[in-house]
Amino acid sequence: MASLELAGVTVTFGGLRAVDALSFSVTSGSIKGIIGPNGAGKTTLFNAISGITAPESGRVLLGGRDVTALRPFQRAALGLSRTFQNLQIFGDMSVLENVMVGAHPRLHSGWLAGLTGRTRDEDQRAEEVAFQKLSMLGLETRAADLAGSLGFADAKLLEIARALASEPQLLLLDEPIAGVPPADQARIADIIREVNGAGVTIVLVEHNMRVVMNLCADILVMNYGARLAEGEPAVVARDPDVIAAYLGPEARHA
Amino acid sequence: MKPQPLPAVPDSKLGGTAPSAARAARFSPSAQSRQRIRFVGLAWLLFAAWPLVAGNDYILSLGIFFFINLLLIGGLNLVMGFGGQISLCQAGFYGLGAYVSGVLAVKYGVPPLLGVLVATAGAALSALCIGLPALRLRGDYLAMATLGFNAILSVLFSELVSLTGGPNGLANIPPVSLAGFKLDIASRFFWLAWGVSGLMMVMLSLLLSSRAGRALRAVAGSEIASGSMGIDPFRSKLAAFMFSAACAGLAGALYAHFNQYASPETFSFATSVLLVVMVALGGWGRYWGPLFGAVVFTAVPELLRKFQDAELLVFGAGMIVVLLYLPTGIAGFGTYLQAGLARLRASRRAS
Repeated sequence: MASLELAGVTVTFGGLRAVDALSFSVTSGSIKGIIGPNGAGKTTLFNAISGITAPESGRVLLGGRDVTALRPFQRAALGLSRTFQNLQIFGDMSVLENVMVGAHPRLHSGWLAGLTGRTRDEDQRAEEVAFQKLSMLGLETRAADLAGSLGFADAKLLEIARALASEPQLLLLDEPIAGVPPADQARIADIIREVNGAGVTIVLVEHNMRVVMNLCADILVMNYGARLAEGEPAVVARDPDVIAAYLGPEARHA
Repeated sequence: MKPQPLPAVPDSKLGGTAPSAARAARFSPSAQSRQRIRFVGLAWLLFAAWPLVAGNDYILSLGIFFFINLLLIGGLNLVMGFGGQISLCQAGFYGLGAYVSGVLAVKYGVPPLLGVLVATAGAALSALCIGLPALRLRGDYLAMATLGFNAILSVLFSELVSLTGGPNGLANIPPVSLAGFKLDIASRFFWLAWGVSGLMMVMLSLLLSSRAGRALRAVAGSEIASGSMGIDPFRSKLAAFMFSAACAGLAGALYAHFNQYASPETFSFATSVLLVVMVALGGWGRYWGPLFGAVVFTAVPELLRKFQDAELLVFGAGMIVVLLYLPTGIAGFGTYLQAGLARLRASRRAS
């Protein structure tokens, strides 16, 4: 069963086709890597999947259900979560509260319950979940700090912790390793593997080839918004079109 | 997901080392909220001494206006400080509450207490109607739309002469009766304003540490990320706008029945702008900010009564000082000092 399926998705900005009639699917329980040169449309693709950008044509299916018309929060309620390449943390909230926000789809209380103080048990649960995710990412000592005070690498880890707090079925990770000190890179890769081992389907955009090749059984290479190649890492790495896109057309003849 | 070893969580049923109460309060937002509510209780106990301290009815009534202003500014701080939305029609909702309750009592003989409830609900309902289209706008556009709404209300207050009394104002508004007890003098009405504003502070604290409050603050932090976390930003903003309007409507109704008179200029958009300034002076998105904002808004015009409108000068200068030097407002002054001292110590250690 495909956890995620795209059928002919096109996203245009003015005259630019950022994603061009792209179709692919992600098998439930797998890790799919998406690579491509800068400007290939990877982040736009993530925005189309999570509902932030509406595609001009084509369909997005989550677990077989057409979600093309659904807004981002409705897709999140169906078990989709994501991180952002250009960090979108809630800077005025504590690190712990950021992760508690991630647990939003799993909690139920509304405004009236909030105003009348009938959310104590739920808040307690959310705190425990958030602590668990923070310690998984090694951020638990920063729990009480303002999220805006975190450095870049820690903020990246916070994005992952927040995305995990909803216990998603499908997780989109937008460059989780870029900008993280080498010492932490292996740890994040381990966490991705562990999360996937628990049954979460993952789509990973990342520039670090070694990590992508190691983690993913299946890679999609994008260029100018379209599919350039798709398949196993070893096959993709030998593909002459891929080599040309990354190293320039001359490399093909080298 | 594999079960992870949990660190010590306050009140945890999972065993582990029990953290000290202070550490738990530092980490847990809900424990922080309970701590905050204890402080509210303490502060309101202190405020309860105001009738003893106040030498005359004039001073006592300043206490009442402080509570009314607190309702206005506290509600606005939820939308602007915590929700990140610009609203320039808080005075409009204030006037709506005053006129709804006042007109119901004067023209239709509705019991004032019932009128206060209708006014509160009516303000929230009008916020729903104006919020449905307006809250789809952002930033400056939302500011303009809410400003326009305040202007429309101001015109209605002045022009519906047969109902509102027009520019001459609505006079002879009867006082509130509570269980056959007429709250017609300041020393009695004080307790109603005291109780209602304290209740609002408690509700705000509870809300801010709940799922709905976290969602609202997340929307202010990043609308895009909040959507991806399963939050409907529009609903969150709309609910905050309605609660804020309900606070203003309640404040207006209390004002009308205490003052027993209401006139349109009190509820002009100029007042809305001043209320925004008070939110900023007190501290954007600071829980205790509105308390300071309400003190300034109540006390400064009285202190400068001799100098006619000089308070505008003071408010303007205060706003500039806050924007330039104290972005966290008066409520953030403590943390600001702490941070400054820490920097000083660090630089001393470095040299």
